[in-house]
Amino acid sequence: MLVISGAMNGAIYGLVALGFVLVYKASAVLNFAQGYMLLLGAYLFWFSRVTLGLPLVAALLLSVGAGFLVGILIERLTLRRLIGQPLISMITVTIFLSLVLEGLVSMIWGTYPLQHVTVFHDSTIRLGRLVLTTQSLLAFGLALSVAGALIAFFRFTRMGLAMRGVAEGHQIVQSMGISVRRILSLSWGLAGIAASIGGILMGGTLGFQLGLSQIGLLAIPAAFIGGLESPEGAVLGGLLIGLSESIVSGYVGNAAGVPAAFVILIATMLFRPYGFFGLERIERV
Amino acid sequence: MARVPFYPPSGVYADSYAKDMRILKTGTQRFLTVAGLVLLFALPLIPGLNGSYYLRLIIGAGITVIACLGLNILTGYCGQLNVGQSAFVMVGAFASGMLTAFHGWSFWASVVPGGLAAAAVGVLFGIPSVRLKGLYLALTTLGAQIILTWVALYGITVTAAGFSVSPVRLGPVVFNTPQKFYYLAMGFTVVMTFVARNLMRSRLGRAFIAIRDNDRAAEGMGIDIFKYKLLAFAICTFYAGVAGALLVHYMMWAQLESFTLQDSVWYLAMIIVGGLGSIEGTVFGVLFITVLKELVLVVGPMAQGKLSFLPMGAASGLLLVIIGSIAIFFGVLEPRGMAHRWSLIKAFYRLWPFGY
Amino acid sequence: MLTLSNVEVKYAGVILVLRGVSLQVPEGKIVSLLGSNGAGKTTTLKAISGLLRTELGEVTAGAIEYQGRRIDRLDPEQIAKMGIIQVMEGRKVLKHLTVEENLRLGGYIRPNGEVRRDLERVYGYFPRLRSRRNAVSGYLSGGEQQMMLIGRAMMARPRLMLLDEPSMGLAPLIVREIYEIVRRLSAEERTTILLVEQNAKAALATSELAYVLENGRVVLDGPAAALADNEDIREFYLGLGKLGEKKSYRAVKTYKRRKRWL
Repeated sequence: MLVISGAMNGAIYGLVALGFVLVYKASAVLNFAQGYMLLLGAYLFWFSRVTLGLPLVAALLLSVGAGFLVGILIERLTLRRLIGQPLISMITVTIFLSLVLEGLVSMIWGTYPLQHVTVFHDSTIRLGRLVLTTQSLLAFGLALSVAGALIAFFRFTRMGLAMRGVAEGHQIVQSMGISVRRILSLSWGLAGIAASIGGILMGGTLGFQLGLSQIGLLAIPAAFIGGLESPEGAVLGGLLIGLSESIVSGYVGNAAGVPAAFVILIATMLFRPYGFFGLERIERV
Repeated sequence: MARVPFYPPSGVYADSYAKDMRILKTGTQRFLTVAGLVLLFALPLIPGLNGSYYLRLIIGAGITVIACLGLNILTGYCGQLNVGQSAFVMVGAFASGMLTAFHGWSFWASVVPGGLAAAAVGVLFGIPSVRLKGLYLALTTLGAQIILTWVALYGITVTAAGFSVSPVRLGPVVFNTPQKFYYLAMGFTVVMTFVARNLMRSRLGRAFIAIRDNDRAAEGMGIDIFKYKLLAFAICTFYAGVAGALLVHYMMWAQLESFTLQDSVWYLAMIIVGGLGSIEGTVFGVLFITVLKELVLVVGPMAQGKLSFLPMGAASGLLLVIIGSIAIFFGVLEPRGMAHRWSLIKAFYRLWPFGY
Repeated sequence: MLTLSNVEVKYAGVILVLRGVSLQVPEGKIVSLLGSNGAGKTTTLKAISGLLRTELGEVTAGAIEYQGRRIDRLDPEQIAKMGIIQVMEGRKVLKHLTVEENLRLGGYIRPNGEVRRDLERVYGYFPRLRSRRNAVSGYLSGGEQQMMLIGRAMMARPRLMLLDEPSMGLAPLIVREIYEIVRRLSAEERTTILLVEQNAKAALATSELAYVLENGRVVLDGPAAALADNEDIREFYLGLGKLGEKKSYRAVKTYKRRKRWL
């Protein structure tokens, strides 16, 4: 039982972690605000569903599309300037961005949890001794398929190849006629999509409240354990974290899974600084 | 992060190394410092500023300055990003608080152990710096924030619930009002600031800066980077611990809610806006953001009263948006913070009309 | 085809690197740009291809015209689409991608259907790459990497190729192979080539026209054969003393001739 719910959460962490990796691969920036992009996506979904009263699919498309746009907007406004700057600037700016996003969300929707809305139908399925909600099953499926689609995009399409090229070096690909700016926007936009979907799915389970941004926090270890340059690693890392969180919390209690995830992260980094699937550093003498 | 060089006004020169390394180089600077200190300590005697509101504000700022000084030493001077400073403040707070509340120690006896406890934990989380750099190390500190908070919440019963702490005594005086605690807080702040400034102009400070700028080159020069990084962590978290001890003895209550991830982020914002790698910058940054915070907290509810369609909590949201945006603004356009701007202004003034 | 008129380039607004460079690259020819370190050769190429921006450089005076259009203010992507492709110095391969992926990316601006044909063409020129097509490019030898880079540039079907120090760090036999390819490219594909080189001998042997850059200025230009015979070039760039003998070290230490073009 624990394993199942862990896996389901894990898929969502994996999706959000994928967003991290996309941004990191393309622009060498770790987006600490990913958790808040998640929050924004979730709240926008709630907004379209409850306030605007749109049907499910329309609400999903609207909020995901908005997530894409928010990603691009953030990239344009802040990250463009940061391309040459030292690491500290980039990290701290995304951290402050998370403050701004949290503030924006509070300003528009307040700090109290919103009325609960389920994303999919409220029904359950029995499989032997296990009781699963359709909600979580569909969430799992959706998260994995979106993650899979993004990975396939990365590997098999021309645009995906261009994104990988940009990750290797901005100046190098400029000489090949690739617009680095457009690729960066695209990666942030895709990260925004990943975050929004993750947020929406979690919102259905956990409720639409500010605490959703905590998921972004947990997706960070997932991305690192898998290796920041590997989209597949991110998903696997997500599953790993989801599973361990669920198991540890189940046995030790008190949401011990969260710090445990970070303990695992620190341990992994000590032995495998680039994560399990991170690209080796190729150095020529 | 090059500093703007010091352009001495005419007549000011150094004829010995000691003189060259002075913190206060010109007569004006010395005068202003003394005057500033006098003003600082005389503040409660000025009518109108005697009220608790202002004093509380300044005390809070003072304690934050101590925590941020530590952070600036580790992140600004030594270049190791620390996203979990408030957790270390918490360690010092609880350690010192528990010694005072449950074992009857006096504040004066528990301050240093509080700081040392925080330093010990800080060094523990600094150990990964032997293998990890930059971004990865920052994650370790994030992990510190999360893990330590969890331990305090679920691992130790007293800290979860919060406990009361008896106020500071010095002889017959009990520092249990803002008016009285003010002097204590300002005393600590001033001392810690000068100590930090002194440390950073010494060999130690230069070693930190070398590590920040290029740690391999520093190692090549003979600086044992692991030892110095750990030392930086220790100093940073010691300062955090002292700040924590002061905090709980000021509030006379020790509780978890004072130490969140968001606080860590605030500290970072303060040193970035003020200026990484600058002691004066730390003070600037803390003051600036504290004042801004107050402004928004005062203006916010008024605005909310008028614009009643905004939901609950909008004021705090606005605060975050404003401060976050300012921090981003500084981070993007002037990463060296207000202190750098200030030194540019001073240099311009001194060099005019030879600007370039 | 390409004309630079009194181009001035500054980095970060203060570092003046090119001080009024004027040169012309006629269509279909191979032109080389010679000079020692720090003369400004790479900067010239980057000014043409638009890559200066990422290094805080900009063309502050003068004009760069390509087929009648001014290109000094354009983005590198636009310039690449106009048919000017640069092969940068330093063998900057996309390390973690395979050879074939590198080549495919080179053909990014071409329509999708043509890519396979272009790949075949490139493999035709460089059979060694074909056998290494799925190797991770970071692990190739220097010569193979350089060939791949030229191939990558070819994938974009350039009208003007800017080659920056293709022979750097390579064994003499490989250098000869590479220059063979350069000659073939010019002859068969009719690509105009602007070549920057420190290896004056190889460059002068391959190109038809040459310019010598020193301290950000063009100090000498003309047909390559004439330059190869020029006494100053022979002494300072080709290392030959009077009448083609090797210079004696003693002569260098006791007597240093001034360059006649100063």
